[in-house]
Amino acid sequence: MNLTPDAAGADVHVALERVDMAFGDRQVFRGLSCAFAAGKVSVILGGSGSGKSTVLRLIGGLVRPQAGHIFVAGEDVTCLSERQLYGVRKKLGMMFQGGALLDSLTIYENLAFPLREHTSLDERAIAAAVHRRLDAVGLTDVDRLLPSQLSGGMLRRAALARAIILDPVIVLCDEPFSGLDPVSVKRIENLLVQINQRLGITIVLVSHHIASTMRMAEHVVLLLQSDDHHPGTTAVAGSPEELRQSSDPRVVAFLTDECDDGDARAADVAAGNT
Amino acid sequence: MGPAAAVQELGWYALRFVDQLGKLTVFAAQILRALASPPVRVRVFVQAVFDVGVLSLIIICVSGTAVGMVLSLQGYNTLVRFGAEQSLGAVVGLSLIRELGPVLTALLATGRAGSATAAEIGTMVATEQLDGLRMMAVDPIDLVVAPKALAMTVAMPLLSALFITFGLFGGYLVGVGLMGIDGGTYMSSLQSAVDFRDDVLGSLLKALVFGGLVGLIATFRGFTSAPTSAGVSAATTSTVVVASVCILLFDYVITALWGV
Repeated sequence: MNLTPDAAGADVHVALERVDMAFGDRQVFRGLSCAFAAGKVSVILGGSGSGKSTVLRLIGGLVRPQAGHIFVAGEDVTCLSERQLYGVRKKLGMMFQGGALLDSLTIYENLAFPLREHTSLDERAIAAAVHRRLDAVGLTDVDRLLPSQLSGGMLRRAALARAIILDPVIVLCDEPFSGLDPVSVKRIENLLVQINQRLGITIVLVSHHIASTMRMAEHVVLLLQSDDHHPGTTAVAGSPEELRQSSDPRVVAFLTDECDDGDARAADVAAGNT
Repeated sequence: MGPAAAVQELGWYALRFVDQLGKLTVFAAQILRALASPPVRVRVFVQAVFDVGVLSLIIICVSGTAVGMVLSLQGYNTLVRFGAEQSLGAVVGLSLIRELGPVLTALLATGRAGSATAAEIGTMVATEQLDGLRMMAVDPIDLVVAPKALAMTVAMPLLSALFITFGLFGGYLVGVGLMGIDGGTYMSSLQSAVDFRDDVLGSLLKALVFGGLVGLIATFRGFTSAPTSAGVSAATTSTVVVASVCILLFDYVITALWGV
């Protein structure tokens, strides 16, 4: 099974074609090809070190591949200079694992910053836009707080608010659920689905959280490392249901191993809540 | 280690040195380009001048006074042997203005502000704040690096001038107040020995060069640090070591070339 989003009948918004990536001597993946459909929530799954976060960084042009092509909203980002990449990045929003908010600025200033940089809005319009986004992620009375004064869940929501402040067409989320309690996980999950449905934004997220993935994803890309029988990194793609019913032993092993951890994810999957 | 291995090791160090030098040059060019092109980030620059300059005032003033005092004491004890204690003002003044002022200010600023700059930028690397800026289509060199490097360059001559002023004051306190030299003699000796163009402007020029060096090295080390706590720590240490050595080497070169 290797269903690509276009096979599922949707336009491709982001695509990787035969991408090789290495950090020094460590080959992260070789010959990776996968695609993410426009207007859908896609989740990248994979074992530790499989290069999930690297895929997001490649899409954003933060790292360059050794070979291959990466198409983002119709442009091959591997051929663009750093300056040219800024044009593409204006169409992207990224929610980093640690938030990556500027720690010397308040939450309000963090959200206002991209608007001041890239729009000619006056301060009143900026304030309205910031509060609209903060309301959308359920944060109130945090304007004057510094990022260090927020809890993990609040920080992720603030980061998500900043990621969508410029109305991007694609939002990339790096491990949005890691280290959060189940209530916060559910809250972020709902927020991402709402943003996708209301604003039609393409969401590509990396997660270890199988239960959430199976609940919210319309499209899943599972990164599998090369072995004796499968040279190069393989991206097995499909809907959550297709993945669950897959007979590919590597997919079954991944889902089973992930669910054998004995945590809440296992219970979710076993109970069919996924 | 055999001779072949030693040569190989030496070659590796040489290659790494050239590689770092090349990257530093490209980095400097990127800073200059960011400074020369809009937007002009006045607020960020003023904040950086405050961090580098204003927050270093106490250490500069206290150190300047102490150095002036000890210079006066040592100078008096030496000059008095030759009956030339009337020249104390000239000795203290020329030593401070031509050499000690810019060099010690640069070393102190490296320890206080240079290390802080490297640590701040390194932490931004480790916490992905610089990547966050890139993803918002904002050049981190333009927003973070260039204002800090420029602030260091601008603040250094001012700090050096302050160091020298407090040093002269400290020297006056000891020479006139403690050793009993006439105040008028001290001041006239100082005034007649110091040339504004050769000594004062030369001193400020030295400080300007040191400021540029410290700003460049501190921002480069922070910007290229490994995204870990150990990486930030290494960047901070390396900033102090490399910048201090560069200050002393450039001091010799400037003195030899321009006689400042």
